[in-house]
Amino acid sequence: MKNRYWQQESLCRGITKILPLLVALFCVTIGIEPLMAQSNFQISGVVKDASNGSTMPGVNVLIKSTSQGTATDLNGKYTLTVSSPQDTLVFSYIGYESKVVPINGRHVVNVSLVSEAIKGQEMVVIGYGVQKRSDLSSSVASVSTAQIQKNATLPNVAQALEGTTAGVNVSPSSGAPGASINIRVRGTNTMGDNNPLVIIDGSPGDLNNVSPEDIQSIQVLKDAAAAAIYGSRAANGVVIVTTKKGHSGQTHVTIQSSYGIQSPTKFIPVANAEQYATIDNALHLTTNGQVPVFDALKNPSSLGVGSDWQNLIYNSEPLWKAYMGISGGQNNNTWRVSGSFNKQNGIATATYYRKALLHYNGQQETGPITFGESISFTDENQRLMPYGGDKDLTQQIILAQPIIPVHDSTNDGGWGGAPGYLATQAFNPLGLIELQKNTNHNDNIRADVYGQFQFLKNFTYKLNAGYRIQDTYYQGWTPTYFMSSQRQNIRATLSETRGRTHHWLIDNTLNWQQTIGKHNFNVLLGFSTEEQHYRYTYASQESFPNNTLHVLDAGLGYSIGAGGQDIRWDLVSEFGRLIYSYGDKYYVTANVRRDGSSRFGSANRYGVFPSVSLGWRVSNESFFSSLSSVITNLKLRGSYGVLGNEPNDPNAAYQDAYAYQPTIAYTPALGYLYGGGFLTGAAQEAFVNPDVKWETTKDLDVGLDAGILNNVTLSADYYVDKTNNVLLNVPVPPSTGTSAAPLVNTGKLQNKGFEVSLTYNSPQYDNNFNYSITGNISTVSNKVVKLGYAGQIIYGAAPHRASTGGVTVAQVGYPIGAFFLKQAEGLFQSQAEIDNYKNKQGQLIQPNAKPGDVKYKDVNGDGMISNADVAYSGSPFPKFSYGLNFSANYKNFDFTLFLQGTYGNKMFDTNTWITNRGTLDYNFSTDLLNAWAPNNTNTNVPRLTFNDPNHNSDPSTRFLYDASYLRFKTAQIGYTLPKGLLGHLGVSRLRVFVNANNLLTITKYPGYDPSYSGDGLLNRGLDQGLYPVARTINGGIDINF
Amino acid sequence: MKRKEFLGTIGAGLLGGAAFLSGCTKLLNQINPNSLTPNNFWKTASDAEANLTAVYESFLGTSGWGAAADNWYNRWVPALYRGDDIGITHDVPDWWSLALFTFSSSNGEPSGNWNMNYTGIFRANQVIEYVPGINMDTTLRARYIGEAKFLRAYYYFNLLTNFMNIPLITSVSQVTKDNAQPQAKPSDVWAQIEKDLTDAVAVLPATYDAADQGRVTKGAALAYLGKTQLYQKKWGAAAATFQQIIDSKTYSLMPNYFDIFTNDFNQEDILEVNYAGGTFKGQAIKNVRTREEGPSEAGGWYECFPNQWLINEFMKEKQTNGDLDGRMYGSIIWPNNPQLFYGDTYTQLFGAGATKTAWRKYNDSYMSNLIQDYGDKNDKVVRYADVLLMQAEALVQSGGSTSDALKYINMVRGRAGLSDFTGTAKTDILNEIEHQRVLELSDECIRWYDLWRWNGNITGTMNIKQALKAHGAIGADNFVIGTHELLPIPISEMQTNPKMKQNPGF
Repeated sequence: MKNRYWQQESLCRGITKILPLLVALFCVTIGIEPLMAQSNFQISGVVKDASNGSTMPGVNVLIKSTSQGTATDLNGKYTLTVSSPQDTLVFSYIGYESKVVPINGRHVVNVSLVSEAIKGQEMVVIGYGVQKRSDLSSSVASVSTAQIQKNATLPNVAQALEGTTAGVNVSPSSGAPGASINIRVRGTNTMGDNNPLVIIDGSPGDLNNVSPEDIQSIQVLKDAAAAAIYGSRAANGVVIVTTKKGHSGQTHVTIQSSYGIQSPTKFIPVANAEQYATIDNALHLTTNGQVPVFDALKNPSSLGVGSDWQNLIYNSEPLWKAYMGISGGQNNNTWRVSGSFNKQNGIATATYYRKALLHYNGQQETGPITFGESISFTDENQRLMPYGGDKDLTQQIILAQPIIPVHDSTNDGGWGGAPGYLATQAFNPLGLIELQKNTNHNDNIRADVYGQFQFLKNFTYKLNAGYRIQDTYYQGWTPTYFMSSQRQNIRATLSETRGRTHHWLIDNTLNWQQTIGKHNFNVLLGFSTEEQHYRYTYASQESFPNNTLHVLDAGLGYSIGAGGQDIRWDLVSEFGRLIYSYGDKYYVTANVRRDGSSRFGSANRYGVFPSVSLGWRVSNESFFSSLSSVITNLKLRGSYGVLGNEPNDPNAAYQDAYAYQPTIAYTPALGYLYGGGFLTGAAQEAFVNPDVKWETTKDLDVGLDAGILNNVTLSADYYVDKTNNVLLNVPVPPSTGTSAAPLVNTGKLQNKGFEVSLTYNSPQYDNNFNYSITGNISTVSNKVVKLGYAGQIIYGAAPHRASTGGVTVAQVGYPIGAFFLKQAEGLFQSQAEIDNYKNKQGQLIQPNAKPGDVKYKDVNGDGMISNADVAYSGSPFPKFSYGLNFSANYKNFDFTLFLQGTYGNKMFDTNTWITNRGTLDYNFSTDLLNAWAPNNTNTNVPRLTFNDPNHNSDPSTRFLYDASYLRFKTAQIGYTLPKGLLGHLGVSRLRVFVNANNLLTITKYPGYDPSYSGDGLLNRGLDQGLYPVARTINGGIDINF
Repeated sequence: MKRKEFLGTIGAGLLGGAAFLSGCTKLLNQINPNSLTPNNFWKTASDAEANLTAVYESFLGTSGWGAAADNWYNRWVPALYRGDDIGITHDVPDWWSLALFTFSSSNGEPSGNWNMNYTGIFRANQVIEYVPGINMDTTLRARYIGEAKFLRAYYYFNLLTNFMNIPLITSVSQVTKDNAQPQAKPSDVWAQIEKDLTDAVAVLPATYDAADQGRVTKGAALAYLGKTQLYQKKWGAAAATFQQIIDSKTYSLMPNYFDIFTNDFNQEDILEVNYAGGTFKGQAIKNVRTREEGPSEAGGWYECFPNQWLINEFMKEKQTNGDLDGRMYGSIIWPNNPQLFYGDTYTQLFGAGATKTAWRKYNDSYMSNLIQDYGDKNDKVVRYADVLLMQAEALVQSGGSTSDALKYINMVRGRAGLSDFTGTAKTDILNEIEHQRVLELSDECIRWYDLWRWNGNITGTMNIKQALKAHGAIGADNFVIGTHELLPIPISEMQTNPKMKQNPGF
């Protein structure tokens, strides 16, 4: 038995070894086609969208009855050499009706294609296949690839998705170069990982590993009926990316290069040196009557402005990008190769991100068999914020005292430090950023191959195999330095972590497609196996001969550390789908998937996820014909399904991958030093839940798609998602002796909302001017329906640098991450007001208060103010979010403007809070210059009190802000040079453009960026002081050959 | 290819795939490759020793700012900062608010103390529950269980004296549901502590060989048992317990007061936290005192320092030779102390005309270099001088031998160079005991608990608030009688345990 198991396992593993070989073989057999330069008849032209006259990139242009052809460039232009002026051209594009045009001896052939979307004939990619949009009865959004490619100056595709699709919320995890992007499809369904599953050319992947220019299409599967084919990982939605393929015919080259400048958009107002000394002296004077308490601050006016750390650290920095794509093919053998390089310096000194990407797509047809392969390589280099990373350091920057000199050549390292005691409060942040070098270097290689048989006319069998290796390497280096005796590093430290992830996937699918009379059938059966294996090694040394040697072997061995872990998970699945339609009027889609996951105990390992959807094309009914001249298309849809969700990213912690197995920690961390030496200790340190199982989301969606006249398309959806058995790390009371929260299926979440997307295309007056407007708006209402044991409330993180307990909660009846804060009700203006604020027993509710202190509401009515006096203060979720896209063409100019925003969400600004506290001697907000005083009573800033007996400095509603915003996200102007100018250089098209990102944000929010989504679900609205986002102005050029 | 061949290929492919699938299903059975599980632990003597070592780890607390946390959470912060003999600086708001008596349940110090002690209890419960099932040398097994019982009692003692209203958990909980326990009656917790210590006294050895130094001894168990009885005002029982320590003749006073703090495991030490100033398998076993308390001029953080009241107490009585109390030189850095500090004279270090005071004991000021790292000297939890003074108190309060009480007081006085105390009135002797405890044990994390257990001074003529006020403690005005005697139940417990009731006033 055991032996057989081993054999099966090694078979699975064997595939992983064979795959790269297979891929290599394909590469060799295909070769790269030489540039084909036929000397015959040259033609060129422009392809436009008939509905609005906008040019269409990527349109396939084929010479009829041959496999020769080309595709249009980014501006819709093509050039082609044909052997005879009497040939016929075929123009085709996904979602448009193909057009056949005889050349008839012309050198210029311009064509307008008619969108099938208007007629409902657009093709969309769904899981394991494609489907006509008209046949869809579920909610699938197609992202405008034009929009993405307009934003191609950004290094991450996900950033370009922001605001383009109703119900899809995209926000950066921070402004740091290379920071990950959070994507939320229809709000938040789980306490765990809420990022959607991303499928790139059939295999799970990462959007970071695709160049925007390589994308053919992106579909977002939003409802259960659409996503259920991905079963257990689909609860957060599925994003399906299809990359561009080559075309038969002439070799086609696209080059894009851009250069930009990023600059900081906002600084937090903090005191300069003179103001700092003034405030600090006043704080100590009002508190203990000491003035001034620090010698260095004795004479404020002599200090001047001092060091403005935000200005010193955040600068304008460049962003550069180059992309080249080459495609071509011959007969039934097509290929496309592309490469891109991004280089971005962060706006914070020394931080950077570099990414190189190579991508290859090929396809070979021989009779009924088609082979295809997609290979990509990504190399990323990143230098991070040092110290505690983003959060810690950005806060240090605003907290560093302005009296710290930037440089001091007498110090080891050359950086200045604060004098005496003040050095215990803050350090030189610029010095630390320059000194500490923490870098990430990641390599990602993926290869997907497929073979497809078509047989018996209506059957297709496909074997798809994917293999991915990701290598991660982190290096952290801190040299010796001296800023002050409290801020020094006496031994240099070096630590390195190397990790490798192997991931393989094998899908087998069998498809049957047949039309019998008015009945259309499309049936899919499949099974899939997937494994991920991650292993990392860590090592560190302390103490080096000097600061120039950065390898472990050079360490002097003062302290040596090492570690590593091994994590594996598997997923084994079977699935099926039936798509049925009758007479282009009635549509049914049914999915079912059964997943087995290694991440659950044997009792709960399998989950079954069914879904069904119905559609009715009302506009094809005969009774509708009187309306059809106005409403060209109307379809009603409804769907219901069950989706699953697994625990968090299994690489995040081994507890997640083996959540159901209890462990004994046997580690030096539990060791003790006896007289005879150090012994390692062992103990059970956490509880586990052996019954952990699938989360299930039940999703109901109703919607409609409509086309009005030939100018307007409308899509609207209403949905209700209910997630049961939500997997929560339920905190256990610390009195159990463990703070590790076991994963438990408990709790119920509900999301419901509307999504509307509306597009208007201008009637085509002439070829000189046309425009289109697309708007989308969506609402998400999130509610915790049930939670924990016996009504337990789960708290989020405390604001950074505070031990105040969480300010956000998951509590039944409220949105997840709702703010629960002390309720500030203005300031006491007089002792009489304090004396009148009494409880039932006649005792003062705030006995420690003095005039100028904050008045808090006694929420629980116990007659005093404590940490129990918190109340619901707002939701981190917007009432609605929206996007508005305007694009226009005028002669050779093109113009795009994209606005995006949210309304009604709240955020707690840790930066404002921490600089307003005035309970320590680090730098202060300039607000404190306007503190309450007997002669300055018309203010909302409490009195200066270092001891703060009234807890003015506690997190309260004083620091909760409306984070609604409207952002001019992108604006772009392009100009395409007239054709004649460069034709003789072989350039078919040359366009120059200027674009701006984050041009302007209108908001009342005082922090760096209202669009942050904090760390994790519960802390969504908690602005922890992350790396600020930049405004970017780019100039660039597109060239096509 | 012909159609038939196609079909054959497809069929084979599907069948092969199905077989493949069923094989891969076995991949779903994964064993965590990173950890031991309860199924293969608690089998051998070395498992028992490792499990016990984890209980000791909580005694030290390797977490916290790169060095041992016990100093913060159990001893240093809650004890020193609420006392009346120190002044403090203010770069850590949680400590500042503790000294000011403005702390709330979200203060990090109570939660650090709570978590650390309950972690130790969880681990001790594992040893007490599972080690008896291990097939090993029975004497050693009994000793291991005795050590674990001592440590469990020590952790409960810390919790009780700080929070008073605490859950009493004496077995290993395995259930993820409903693990919220209600608070026990304090008397039940006292009884459990006494029982565990009594069990430990029976099996622990008086001393260990060098290799096992640092483990808890019979003397330590007796000292904590006596202390437990003293805190409950069981005076007679306490006196009988302390007498066993004295009669054992295992301990004696060090001749020179300052040498206590530069010599680990000396003849006076009964229980101490073992530090080495180094890193072992990545774990920093370093004493934070020297860094935290050292003056900023020497590279310390200067978190707290002796206040004027303490200096006045030292100045009250001189040695027979006319010099100041020998303990003052050993305890305090002040302008008239002629010792070298970090290789400098007072004036060289602080500058002419400076008046700053700092702690000398525990800090590495006797060494010639400035502070660069944490220290290596052990922290004293109980030493013989403390036991002698506690025994004197127990004897006086229980109506025992006054001459014995005076004998023990005078042993402590004599080492400091003071002449014998000859008072005979009960009040005078008690006042002298308090005075000697202040001088002998300053900065040793004991003063607050003396204030607390006496609810003011030893004779009951002052309450805690009055004592704090009289001695110039900065938080005296904010002290609320009936509230600030205890720490608040940490917000992390309140937020996860619906059965928990907050201490009054928080």
